[in-house]
Amino acid sequence: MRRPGPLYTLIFGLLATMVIAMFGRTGVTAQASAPAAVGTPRVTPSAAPTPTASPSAKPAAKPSAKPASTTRKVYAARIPALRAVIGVVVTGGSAIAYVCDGRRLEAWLRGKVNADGSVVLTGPGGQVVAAVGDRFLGGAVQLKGGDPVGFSAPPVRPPSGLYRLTATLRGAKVVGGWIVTPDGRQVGVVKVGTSVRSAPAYDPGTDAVEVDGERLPVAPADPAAP
Amino acid sequence: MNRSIGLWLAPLFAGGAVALVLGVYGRVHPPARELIVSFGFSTVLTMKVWFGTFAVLLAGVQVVTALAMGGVLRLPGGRRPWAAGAHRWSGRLAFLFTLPVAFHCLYSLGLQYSSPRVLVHSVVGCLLYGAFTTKMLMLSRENARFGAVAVVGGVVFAGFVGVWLTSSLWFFATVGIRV
Repeated sequence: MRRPGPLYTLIFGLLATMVIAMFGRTGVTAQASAPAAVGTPRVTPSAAPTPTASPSAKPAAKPSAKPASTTRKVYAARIPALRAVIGVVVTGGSAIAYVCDGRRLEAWLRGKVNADGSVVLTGPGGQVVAAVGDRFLGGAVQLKGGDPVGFSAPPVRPPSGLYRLTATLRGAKVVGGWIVTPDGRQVGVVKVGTSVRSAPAYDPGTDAVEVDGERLPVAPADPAAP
Repeated sequence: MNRSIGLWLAPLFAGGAVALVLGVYGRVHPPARELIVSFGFSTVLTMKVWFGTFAVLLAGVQVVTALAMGGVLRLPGGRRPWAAGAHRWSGRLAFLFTLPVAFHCLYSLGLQYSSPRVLVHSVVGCLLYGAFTTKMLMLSRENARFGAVAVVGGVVFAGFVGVWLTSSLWFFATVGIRV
């Protein structure tokens, strides 16, 4: 080692990296308001009302049609046959569901809850026919090109639940979903444009995740939101 | 002869180990949500894009000064000590520019392969630091041969360019030139 200069360079690089690691980081919330993508108008194909999903629009046959409940119920369960997880949010007479395997498979489905408590959720990825109960939401899910599979999901409480990301990142539409189950596990994918990838870990206590270096907003899924 | 092989192998293995450790770390370590400072740029991403661009420009200076050091290229007033000093310091500066960028890549994002661009960027980025380590260790030997160092230096330069093409140039082409 008669010429130590290059070694000093390496050691200096190591030290500089440690300095960055110690002082160069900003907190999680420091740039939470940064993304320009927040609130970008966005149209989800599945948000278009499907002709078959509007029986609830009929005049109420019964004396008192229940006013749309504003209570929010969230259900989540594993569907072993699909190796996937389903999360459903029901609020204000509308429902949104997300079926995801954490790798490639993902489907967002939407629908209205009928007066009798039945619900049909549809989307480009498939459909769910289910009954909404206080203690469970159960029925069948059929993904595009697949067989119907039965499921029954219990209600869950925060931080468990269904979370959704919608944003525009450098011109590409970004949609992400996370289903957090009571055992603390989470399953999700993020779709950037047409490429689907495993979702980065999402902390339900926060309102954003980082995708490709940008912080994007994540919120509890809401059937009324785009 | 054996001794000279040993002198060769140690830096090569060390460089390989560095590349491997970085890649495994990037894959195993869960991506941290924390960002790093953006050094005055509007976002961390633009900081990375420009630091990477500065680094690759300095890497170009590296090639020119290396050619002068090897006597391949005659620079105006191109005495060896001048070229050597410029080579050394442009290299150190380029290395310094890469550190915040690579730190963010590996600490906040991790090694990914969601698309070919990202895969190439991840792998070449790790190899770049391995090759750089190899070169530094080779240079620290008194009897380092110019030809051998030049080969590794060429690999480092290819790494710089490969990483830059798959990040900064991609950003300039898809997003535009922003600060």
